[in-house]
Amino acid sequence: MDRRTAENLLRGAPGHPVSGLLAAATAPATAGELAGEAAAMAAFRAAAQSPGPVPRRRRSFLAKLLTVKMAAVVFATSATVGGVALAANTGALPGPVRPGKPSHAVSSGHSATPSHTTHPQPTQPTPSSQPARTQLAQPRKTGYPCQELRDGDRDRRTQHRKARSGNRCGTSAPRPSGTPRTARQHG
Amino acid sequence: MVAPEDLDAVVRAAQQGDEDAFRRLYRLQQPALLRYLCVLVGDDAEDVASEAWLQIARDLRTFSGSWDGFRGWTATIARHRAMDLLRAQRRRPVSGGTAEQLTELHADDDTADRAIESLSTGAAIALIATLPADLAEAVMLRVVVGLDARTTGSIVGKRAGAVRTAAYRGLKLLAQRLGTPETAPATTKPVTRIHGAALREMN
Repeated sequence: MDRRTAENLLRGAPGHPVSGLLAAATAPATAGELAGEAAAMAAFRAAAQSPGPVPRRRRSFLAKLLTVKMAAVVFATSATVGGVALAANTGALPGPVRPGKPSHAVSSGHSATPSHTTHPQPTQPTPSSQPARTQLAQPRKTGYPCQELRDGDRDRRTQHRKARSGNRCGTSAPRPSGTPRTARQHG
Repeated sequence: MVAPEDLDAVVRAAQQGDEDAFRRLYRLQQPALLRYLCVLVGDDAEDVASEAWLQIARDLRTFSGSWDGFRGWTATIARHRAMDLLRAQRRRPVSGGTAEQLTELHADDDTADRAIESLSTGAAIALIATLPADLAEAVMLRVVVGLDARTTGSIVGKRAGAVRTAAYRGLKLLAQRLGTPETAPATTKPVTRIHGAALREMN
């Protein structure tokens, strides 16, 4: 078989041993295959009655953008505040050595303005709610992790398959609900 | 055969809440999804297909596209649900069988031709499912779901060229196996007209 034959077969060309197989695989639906129609219709009705879904993609993109920005803000503020706190602490620590004016000595040096600008306002709304979300949202941005997950999963499945190739019978055979479609076809 | 542009209209009608249109989409697409899922998850295909349709019904209004797009979109949803299941169960998919099962498949027929003529849909799917997983998936998405190489590639995370190669190799393998009926052992067991039986035999 060459590639052209394969392409023709994929398009449904007859006359090849495989075309009969493919025709059987694409045969019209049997009643058994459509057994879930009622459930699907019920789901459709339920969805029709519920309020219209929000355009998720746009929203999540916006949310992502926001969370990335917020992450930056949170990081910047916490770093600054942390730096100030650290500075205050380290400034206080050698305090006993210079008991006269610890805070002035430190803040006048490099962190006087940050401590004033950041402390009262921007830290308040962000820290409690944002960090957890940003941790989730950030890696999703690139798209790669999903793919890696999937590929990793496939690899694991392959390994799994190799490892378990002898004993699936025990798990699948006794399940009667698993084979209704074909059973129906012949029964 | 219904013209694709008519089916585009059916998709749009279903998106606007037309029940008959959705029912029609279900009847057209469910067999393909179910057969595709048989190759991915075997006995759990029906359950996974049900889950997929719940999501399709729920998210249909956010979908935008034609009938062709709808087929690709639903196949993507079905695949995601199948992967969820496999991830949850941490078990192997059905595909990846060996040649022995295939020879058993047409063991009760004298020739390959007769085997093919009498091949039921279930047996055909079971046969494709014995291919290595990526080949089987390429064949199913291209032949049974009816997607082009590019769409198939976007679903399975491959380039269109890789999909073409996989489908080609899959068909070649099927042809090779079907073309050698004389290697079939002389067993009288009517092994696998039934998909479930094929799966059991496989293990």
